[in-house]
Amino acid sequence: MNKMIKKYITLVSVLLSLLIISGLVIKSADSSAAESKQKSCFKSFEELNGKRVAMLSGAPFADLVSEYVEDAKYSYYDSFADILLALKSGKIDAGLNNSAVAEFQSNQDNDLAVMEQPLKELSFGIAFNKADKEQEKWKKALEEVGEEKIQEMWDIWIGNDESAKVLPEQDWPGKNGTVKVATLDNLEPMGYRGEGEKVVGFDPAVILLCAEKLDVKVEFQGMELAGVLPAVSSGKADFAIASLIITKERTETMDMIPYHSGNIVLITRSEEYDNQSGKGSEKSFFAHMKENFKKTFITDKRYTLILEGIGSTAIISILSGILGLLFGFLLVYLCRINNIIINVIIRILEEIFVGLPAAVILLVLCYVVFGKVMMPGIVIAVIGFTLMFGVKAYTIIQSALEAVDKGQMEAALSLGYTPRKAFTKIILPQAKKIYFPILKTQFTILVKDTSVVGFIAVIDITRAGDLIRSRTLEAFFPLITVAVIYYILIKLFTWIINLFDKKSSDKSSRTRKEISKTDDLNIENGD
Amino acid sequence: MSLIEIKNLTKSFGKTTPLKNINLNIEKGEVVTIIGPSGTGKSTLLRSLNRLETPDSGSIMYDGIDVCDPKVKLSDIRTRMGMVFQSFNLFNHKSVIENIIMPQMDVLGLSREDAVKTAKEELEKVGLLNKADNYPDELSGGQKQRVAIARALAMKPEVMLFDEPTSALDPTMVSEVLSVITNLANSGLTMIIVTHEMRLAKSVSSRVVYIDEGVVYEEGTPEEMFSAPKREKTKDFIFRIKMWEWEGWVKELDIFEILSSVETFLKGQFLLKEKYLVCMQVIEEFLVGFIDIKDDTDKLGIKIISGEEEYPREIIFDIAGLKCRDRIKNDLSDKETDNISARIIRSKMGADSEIKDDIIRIKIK
Ligand SMILES: Nc1ncnc2c1ncn2[C@@H]1O[C@H](COP(=O)(O)OP(=O)(O)OP(=O)(O)O)[C@@H](O)[C@H]1O
Ligand SMILES: [Mg+2]
Repeated sequence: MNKMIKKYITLVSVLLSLLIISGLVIKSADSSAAESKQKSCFKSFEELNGKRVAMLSGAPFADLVSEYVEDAKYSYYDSFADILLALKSGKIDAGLNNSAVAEFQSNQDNDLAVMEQPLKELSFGIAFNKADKEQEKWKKALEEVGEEKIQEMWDIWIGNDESAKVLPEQDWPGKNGTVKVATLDNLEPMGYRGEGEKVVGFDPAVILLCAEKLDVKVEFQGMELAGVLPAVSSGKADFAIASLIITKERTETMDMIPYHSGNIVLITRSEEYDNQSGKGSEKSFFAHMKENFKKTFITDKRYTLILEGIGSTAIISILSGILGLLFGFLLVYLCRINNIIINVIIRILEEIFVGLPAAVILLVLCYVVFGKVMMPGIVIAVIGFTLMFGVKAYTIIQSALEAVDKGQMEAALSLGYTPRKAFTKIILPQAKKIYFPILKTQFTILVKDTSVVGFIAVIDITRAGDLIRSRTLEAFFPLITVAVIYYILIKLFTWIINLFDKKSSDKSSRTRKEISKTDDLNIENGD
Repeated sequence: MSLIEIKNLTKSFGKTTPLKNINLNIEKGEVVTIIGPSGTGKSTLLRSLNRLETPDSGSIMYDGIDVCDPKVKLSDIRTRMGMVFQSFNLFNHKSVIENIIMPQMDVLGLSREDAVKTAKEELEKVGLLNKADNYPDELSGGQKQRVAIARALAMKPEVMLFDEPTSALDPTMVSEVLSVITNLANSGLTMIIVTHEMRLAKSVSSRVVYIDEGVVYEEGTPEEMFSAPKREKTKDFIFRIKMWEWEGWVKELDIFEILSSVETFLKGQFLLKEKYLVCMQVIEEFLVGFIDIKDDTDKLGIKIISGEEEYPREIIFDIAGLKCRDRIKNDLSDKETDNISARIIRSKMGADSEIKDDIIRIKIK
């Protein structure tokens, strides 16, 4: 009874907080398609003195800004969408990006404007590993395609005509094999997830033009900017086209072929936005909600992204949970052999997998350990979390076993149990009472920890939310959806675990039974 | 051939060597109690018999099988020897009856019905059938130990090993366990009992073995061992376990603590209840009637020596350190004294009591 009330209260409080947050978000977010070009609230670089300027962590151009602006404060973000959100909420004053992205976003949103004067004129380049022989082929193909054709693509993708923004089918024979190309999936219009989850954008479009000339098929790997160069250098991708500006620093580690010119510009809030700030929205609350909802879930079938995210998170959690538990028990049994080498190995595993953050472990697994092996990110995630959860489970089970009185083992032995049987029948069941609840909590921590798999280009719930935000520039629905899904998933998992555990918890709940009548099967017949 | 033959057994833990050279034979049907000071390796010896402890050298033959042979099937030997521990070691996750059923099924391979039947019989014998479905943590210490005994017996062992079965018990619960063990001894089962409980040693055993200095120091019938021990250390030990002592500043004296300590000692001596109550009354009256516990410089010594015949032989007060010692001596010698405490004490004093120098020796009537 009590439990029902508790559940009810939880539900109500979740809904309430949903409404409150939605109110806040709606008030601050007012974006509608632009008709005329709006002006930046900063007229010149001088006005930016002492202001906060943000850039992508994979594209550090602070030097460039400091040439014009004396003492800007710099911050670094993982996705441009977050920069724009921060801009609109006033956390920062300017964001740095290439002109294509900046123009595109200001076209989409009245609140944003690009500063007229560019910071620098530069080129976008395709990044190859140093001395990769393949690059000559692609250089030639680019020349064959011609600047004119590429400019045509450029105009299409930064334009407002969504219907023109389609990638051509790869209907050429592909006699010369397949290449894996690392590209961005969160930077509209350069590289982003279009309808369904397909990576589209100007960058992929350019590559496809060349691929047709070379008669190779292309497999795009969408990821965050921070992952692009590691993917190429570790061999996970053959090369990268990711709106990478050719810089001296980059050409030191990579060979870069220019494919289009592009300015680096600052995007800021628009004059209009600053003038009307505080006035709030003119649209009704529900119209807003409806529009946001549509943008988040329906447009481009974005719900499929969320479904994929749920799938990945569930698969990684469940597989790592089960395999990790098995691995943990394997370690416990190995530890009982009491071989010094095995013990040292287990000790080292403990140090590594309990001591380091999940994200670091995943990155090391992805780019160092399995750097040369072609393996889907999700497999690497499962391996990583299996190891992490397994080692953690091992330490938990081990300390639970130590907590069982030594006399229990001695009593069992004195009755004629073999050490192995005494362990499984007497010691382990008593330890289980201690370790099981802890493992359950640990599993929910595992589910939450999986939110870092975005680092290795797996689309889980968190990353799906990020990707949608990078398109809609709305925080409310994606974030709330992600939060609610995690909440439900964890509740669901806990419920399932408890269901499986029902049998044994019945045993410990000490229901009095008339022994002569019981046909209790908990005790199996020995041998 | 004896049932158990222990030859030249040694065992050490790091620097300590509790067992230096143990030689001991035990016949079928014998009830042997092992006594000795703390830390002399009594438990180690007992645990070596079923190889919970692996000896360093020497041999243990059990029914013609070399227990120390690394190839021996330990679980078989252990099944033939039941063991009862000081700390009970019931399986905490199982009810009382499951504790007894489970080993029979797991180890002996009995069917559940047979196991339940035996379990009930054994529980009946220790008088705990009504607790069959309780869990160990719902039982008193004495009940736990009785269940542990029933569990061991259900395996139909040929020998029972007891390692201080009553040491962890409240004084009030000792006797229920003792009576179970006594019954068992009378049934003809071979038993080896390590104990500090002299009642047990005296009443049930056919042989008492005193372990000290890493060897079997002396052995004999209970009468021989308790009335006429031959060797120096045995005498000391037997005398010491028959004596209770307190000595110290009067201002630190806590009457209740002393009385409860005296009671525990006297109970352990297997004395009749009326007798030990008299003894306690004498001590209480002495402390209340004569001692000023606020005095900073007074000192007192009290000693109780237990007798053979189920009553305390004497209570000795050493009053040399008391300022009022002359008054006490006068009061206790004076038939017409108006000190009530002195009168009560005098009424309990036997004829052969004496007051000499500053020592008062009271023999209880
Ligand atoms: N597992 C062990 N590791 C190290 N030393 C031990 C171990 N077991 C016993 N000892 C030591 O061996 C000596 C004998 O121990 P044991 O328990 O056999 O004595 P005991 O005669 O049973 O004493 P008590 O009457 O106090 O139970 C002691 O000094 C003890 O500290
Ligand atoms: Mg002992």
